[in-house]
Amino acid sequence: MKHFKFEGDEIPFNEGESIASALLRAGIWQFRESRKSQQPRSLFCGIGHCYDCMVVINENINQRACLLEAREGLSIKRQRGVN
Amino acid sequence: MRTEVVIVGAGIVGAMCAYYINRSGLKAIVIDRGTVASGTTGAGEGNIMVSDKSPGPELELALKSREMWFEVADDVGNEFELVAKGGLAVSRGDAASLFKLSEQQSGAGVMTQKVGPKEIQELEPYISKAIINGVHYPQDAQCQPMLAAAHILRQLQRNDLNFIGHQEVIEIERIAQSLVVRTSDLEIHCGYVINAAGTWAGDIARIAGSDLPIMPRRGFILVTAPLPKYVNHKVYDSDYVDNVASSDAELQTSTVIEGTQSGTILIGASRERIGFDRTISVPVIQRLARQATSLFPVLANAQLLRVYNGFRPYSPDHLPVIGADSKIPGLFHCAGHEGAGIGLSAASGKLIAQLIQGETPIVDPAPFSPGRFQLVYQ
Amino acid sequence: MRIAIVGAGPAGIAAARILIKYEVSIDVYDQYPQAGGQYWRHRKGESFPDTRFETLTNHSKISWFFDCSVWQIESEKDGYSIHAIKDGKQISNQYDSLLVASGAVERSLPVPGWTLPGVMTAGALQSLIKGQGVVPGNRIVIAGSGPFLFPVIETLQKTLRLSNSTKAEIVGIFEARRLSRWWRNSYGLILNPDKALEALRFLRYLRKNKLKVNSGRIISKVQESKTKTAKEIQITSFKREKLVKGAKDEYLECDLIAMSYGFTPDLTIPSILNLKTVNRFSDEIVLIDSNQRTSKLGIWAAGEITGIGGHELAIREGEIAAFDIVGKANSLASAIRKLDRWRKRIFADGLARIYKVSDRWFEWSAEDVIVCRCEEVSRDEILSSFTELGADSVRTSKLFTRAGMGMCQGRLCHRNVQDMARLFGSENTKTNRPIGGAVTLGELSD
Repeated sequence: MKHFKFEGDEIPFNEGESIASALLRAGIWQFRESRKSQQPRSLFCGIGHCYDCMVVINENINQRACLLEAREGLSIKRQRGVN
Repeated sequence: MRTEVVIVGAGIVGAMCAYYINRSGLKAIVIDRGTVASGTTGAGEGNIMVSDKSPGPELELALKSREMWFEVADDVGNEFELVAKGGLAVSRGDAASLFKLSEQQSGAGVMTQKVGPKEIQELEPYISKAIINGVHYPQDAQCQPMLAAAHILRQLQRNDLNFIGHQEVIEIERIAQSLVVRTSDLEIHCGYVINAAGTWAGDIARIAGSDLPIMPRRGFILVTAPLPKYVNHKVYDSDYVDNVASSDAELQTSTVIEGTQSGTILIGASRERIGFDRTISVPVIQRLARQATSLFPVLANAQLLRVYNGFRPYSPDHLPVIGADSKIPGLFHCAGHEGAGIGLSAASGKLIAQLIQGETPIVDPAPFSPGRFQLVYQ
Repeated sequence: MRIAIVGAGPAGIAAARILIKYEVSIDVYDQYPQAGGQYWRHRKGESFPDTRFETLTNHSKISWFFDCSVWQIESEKDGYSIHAIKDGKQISNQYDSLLVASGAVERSLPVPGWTLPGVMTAGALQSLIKGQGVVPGNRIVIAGSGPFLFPVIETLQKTLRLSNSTKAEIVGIFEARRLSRWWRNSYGLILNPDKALEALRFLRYLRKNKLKVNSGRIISKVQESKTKTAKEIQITSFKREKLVKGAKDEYLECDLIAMSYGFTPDLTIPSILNLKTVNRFSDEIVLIDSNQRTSKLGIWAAGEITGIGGHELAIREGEIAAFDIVGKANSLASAIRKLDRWRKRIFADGLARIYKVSDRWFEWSAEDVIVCRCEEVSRDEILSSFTELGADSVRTSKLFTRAGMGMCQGRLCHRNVQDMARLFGSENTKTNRPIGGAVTLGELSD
């Protein structure tokens, strides 16, 4: 089984699966904190339009988890505002 | 309807004229063919700068205007993100002309501080390491100009000022000792008309039977996604100053970068004489993007969310037109501020109010006189 | 002739299938990694969901530009230049003709608590199941309004039944409208007996699986439940375009809420082309003539952007556009499709009449609610921009409140703010989105 790291934890994923899908499968719903009022946010539209599913991948912000394929060894964190 | 002053234009200049006219005790009505901030104010960055002006009448006006902005914010409440963030003019190579300018500016009352590579990195940790010289201008400030115009007008409406939107001026006629302004819905008798119609001030002048050579100079602004605070000041390379003073019709670009309260980073600046063409220009966007990433390499990963353009109102000598029309009694102009309208608006509004009331003006109004462009018929 | 098709969904693919028979070169652009759009979304490696179009994905005459973000299209003297980003690099190509088939986005209505994790669009749930093979919840609620709820319910139910290990179940289905409203589409049903049969089949499927649809009921609030890992929703009666508050409110524990209020055209690409749009059933749509030509020479539009109507109608529109592009607008083949388009359009309009969301939806909630999710702008802030600050359009409201200025650039909220602007008499509600797709400054710099 392949894995990526989310907030330090190993998350398994299926080949070709999106990062969002793998996270939801693992029961992880909160992907980020909103900028103005730090509210928990997650996948909403599922097709890359709403940008609610943004996570930080290898220090890069604004990465849409619903569009990007999970890959072995990625280091992913919750995006807190713009960080 | 009857009032003492009609102000044509509800952009930042019109709003500031309204503010000082109102505070001087005169009754006024503000009209606009659209709504608040429908023209160039709606496409502005919110610059309140003294750093980009050489000593002269415009700089003198800018210094006074900067202080007045903070007074206005104190009075009506700072609901428009006014902040004295400071400016940083940088040079990649030979800083001689930049330093010379800063010395002259210092002599004219501008606070300046020459900075070398170490201080630059402290002021702007994300700036390119290739930047070795610059000048820091603590007085430069920024605001959100649409909110500023809207909040000022809203406050004034609580104090007996009328703002009526969607009124296109059809006629301005002199009848006996008053002026009559006619729009599609209104007929307003007044003693004075202030033409604060920005890039369209020439049209208003013509309708009144006069003339004013105000032309559009298109500019683009790129807006990034909300980002961490990568840029602390308004940062620009010294080409900016030259471009402002140039009359070239060709595309001129310089690098101007600043952050905003919402986290987006604004990138300019371009100047073209291309009439009122609103088409998005791919070469301009590419050039501005390249300049921005060269100055702040961290911006390479920044997503470009939006692009917008606006038309700066410029006059042949690049100075605004503030004062009485030389032909039509009662008609005053307060327009043609090019790319400095927001910064200069407060002092321009004050100056117009003083001229109308016959008070001693805060600066010598002669360099801004409309008469300098107008043919006077005997 | 060089033709570009923007959008590899049903309309774009159907057009391509016609065009390959002629002496043209065809480039198809899409932001997703494979063809199919939303309707034919499938898992990577699976065969194409519709056998009619299977062979196109490998066809020698079509160049597919997937994972491609079209950020600008410029008018040239004799055609158009598409500027796009592919694999982090800029590409620019010139074309004589363009077909815009960029599809629809789901319409979401703000509800207090709708930003909480666990709330998603019905399309998001559909794409998680069909595209990813995951059902991320145990107590699932499907709510909203419109015919799209039914295929989502069916996909979900079929998946749940197939899986032995799941304890997941659908715990509630809430549709704002009542079935009796279908009389508004009688003419459409008569002209489209295939659709009538499909509708009956759905009803039978629901009955067979003991899935009860609660009509005239909507979710009026979502909040964290006492157990914190789940949500609690408040269900309220909906009658004559209003919430009937208090009396028959119910509460339900769940952990996944899929909500949908239909679709609305995605006007991003039409906006960068500055195509003329008109209002239809309160949606902004691209104006076209009987051959799918837009207000600009050399540009055609097909599919949902000319009016929501489903994938079969989109296919017909794509085909009709293709025939006109190659000069065969007067052929029998085109005429037959135009007839079919006509009867399908009647059905689609009937659906719009049944399921049309009230323009005054923002009065439903007593609580202030977030309308712009990206910038966290509330309904009351937006209304104040009109009443207090002098905003007179979506554009000026946006400048004052930042609604629509965030990452999604109004893709979710513009349609909703348009309704609010219209309340204040705004005629200028046109979508203005100058950057057509995701692009970074670095990508523009090289």
